[in-house]
Amino acid sequence: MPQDDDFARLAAALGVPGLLYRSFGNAPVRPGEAASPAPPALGWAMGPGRAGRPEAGAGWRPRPVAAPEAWPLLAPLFAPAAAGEAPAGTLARLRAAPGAAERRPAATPFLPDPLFAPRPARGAGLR
Amino acid sequence: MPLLCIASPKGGVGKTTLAANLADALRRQGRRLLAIDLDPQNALRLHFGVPLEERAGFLAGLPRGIAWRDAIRRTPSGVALLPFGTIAAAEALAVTAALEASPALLTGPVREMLADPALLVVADLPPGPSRALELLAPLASLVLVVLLADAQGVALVPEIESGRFLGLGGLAGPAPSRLRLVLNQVDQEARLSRTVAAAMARHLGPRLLGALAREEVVAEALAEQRLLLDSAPASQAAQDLRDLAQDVAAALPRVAEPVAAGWAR
Repeated sequence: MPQDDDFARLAAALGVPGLLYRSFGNAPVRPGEAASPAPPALGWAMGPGRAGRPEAGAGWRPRPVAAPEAWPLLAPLFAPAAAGEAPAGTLARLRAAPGAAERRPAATPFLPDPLFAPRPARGAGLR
Repeated sequence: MPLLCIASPKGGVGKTTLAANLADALRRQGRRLLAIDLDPQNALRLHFGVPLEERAGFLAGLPRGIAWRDAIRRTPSGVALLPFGTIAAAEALAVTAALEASPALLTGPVREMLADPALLVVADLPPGPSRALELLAPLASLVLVVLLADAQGVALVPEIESGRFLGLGGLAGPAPSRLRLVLNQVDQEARLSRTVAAAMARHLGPRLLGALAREEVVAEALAEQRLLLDSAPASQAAQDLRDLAQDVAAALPRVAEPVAAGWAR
């Protein structure tokens, strides 16, 4: 269950392997999501009955949690760009853009009249 | 021999990013290139992969009389770099005061650099009016002013036309051909940016030397401490950069062929 993974990660992060999870019948936070495999460093916390897990007490040290390799979420950012056809230059596109007069539709030479109609005073419709 | 100054009326327009990548694009044309950072933000070095912890630089050492040749960094791109150096605010004021009292502290080394007939020097100026710009503009073959395609960019055009702009004389001044504009971060999908850019292109004509598309890959290149033509060569911005480099090269005086492998090769 996803919440079991979450709980195991929380126990490992807090360095409290004896922390127990008690279900109060609450619904999973991520319903319908398949349980993700536990990270290797959390294997002891995820094992059946947590056999062989280190117990809190004298001589116990929290097991280090493996750091992510190198920001995997950012990896696509640094992937080489796909080579393609060279696009036309921005300056050339700007120079080729029609002027404002050319862009204005011939059928609507003027701005619509409602733009210049007086606006009703505030609260005029509440009387 | 030519000196190309990159200036801007305000910060945040991508001047340093443009300076670094334009220097790289010009270097790829086979030129020996030296890039000087004259902006106390000391950010030019980051585009060339210089580690953050390396704090030494040329202008930062100017009050102590540092020799410019000793401050040169070789970079993987092949562009030789003179970083500004990392300094505190008080030290930045000391640099300004030193330039005010002894302009030759800067103009002397730059004249020495320009004496190399095969060298192209690209200077990244601080934003706005500055003593460095005042000293170097008379020596420059070309001053590129970087603007954004926004309302503030439009508002600056009358200043540029009238000659009150950055003390450079303006587009109608005595040497208008030495002052050219570049529009940066043009967003064809944004109505304001597209409209302003097209209007400025029509108004400025050949005085607008280039326009670069706004793309995430440009900022991502800096995040990687790489140059755009390495990290995203097929992007629109990279194409715009190559176009700009060609036009800049055409506007600059021709440099001599290097006679021997030098420090900026």
